[in-house]
Amino acid sequence: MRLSWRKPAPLNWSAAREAQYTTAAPLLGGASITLLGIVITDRDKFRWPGPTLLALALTALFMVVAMVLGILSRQYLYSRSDVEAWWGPLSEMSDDQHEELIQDQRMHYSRYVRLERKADFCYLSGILCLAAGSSLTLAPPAHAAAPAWRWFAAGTTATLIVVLPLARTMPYIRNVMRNLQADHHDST
Amino acid sequence: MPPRQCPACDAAPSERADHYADCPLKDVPLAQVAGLTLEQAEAKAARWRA
Ligand SMILES: [Zn+2]
Repeated sequence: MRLSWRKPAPLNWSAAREAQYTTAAPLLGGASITLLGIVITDRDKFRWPGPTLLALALTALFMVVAMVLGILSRQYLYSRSDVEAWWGPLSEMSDDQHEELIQDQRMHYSRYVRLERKADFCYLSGILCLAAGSSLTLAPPAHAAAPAWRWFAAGTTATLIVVLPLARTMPYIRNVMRNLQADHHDST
Repeated sequence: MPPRQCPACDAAPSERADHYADCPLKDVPLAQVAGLTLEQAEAKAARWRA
């Protein structure tokens, strides 16, 4: 079986991830560090300063790791035209060399996907910690005058902690169901 | 998460229903091979064709 170059689906998926690791993650990590500074200096104005600080510190950590892994992964992603830019036209190449370059690209692409998966896990964990951190920040202190609105705000942010993992796992649940159906079809 | 793709033609079940036209694994449903390594997918294809 002659195999071809690997490519992301949809094709610009990797460009979207690049924006996630070079723009969104640093921004969110930076914001959590700013918030961290506020909670440290004004800890008596928050209901649970300890857990809040932990959640915000974890956010910063996850975002930095996501950024590092995302950028590390990027070196393993290149297209056939990148190969041609560095190696010269593929049509002028021997079949063996052509084949080797395809194999390298396929190996690098799977490495890219593996690193990307880890980066994505860190990014998602970072978002969850940020949601938890903001929610804890919003919880009214014990002596607050009208705490209902603050509780409402905290609760709204906290729903992200439930909704996000659910939205992420849905495609997998659907896929398992599809496979079960297909296996059933297979065995009958 | 990176989309799960067919290891031969790179079609993703999240994007389309079936493999691309000249995929060597096209007689196996896309959802069955997406996300597998090429070796795993070939083993599965052999079982499927049997
Ligand atoms: Zn395919």
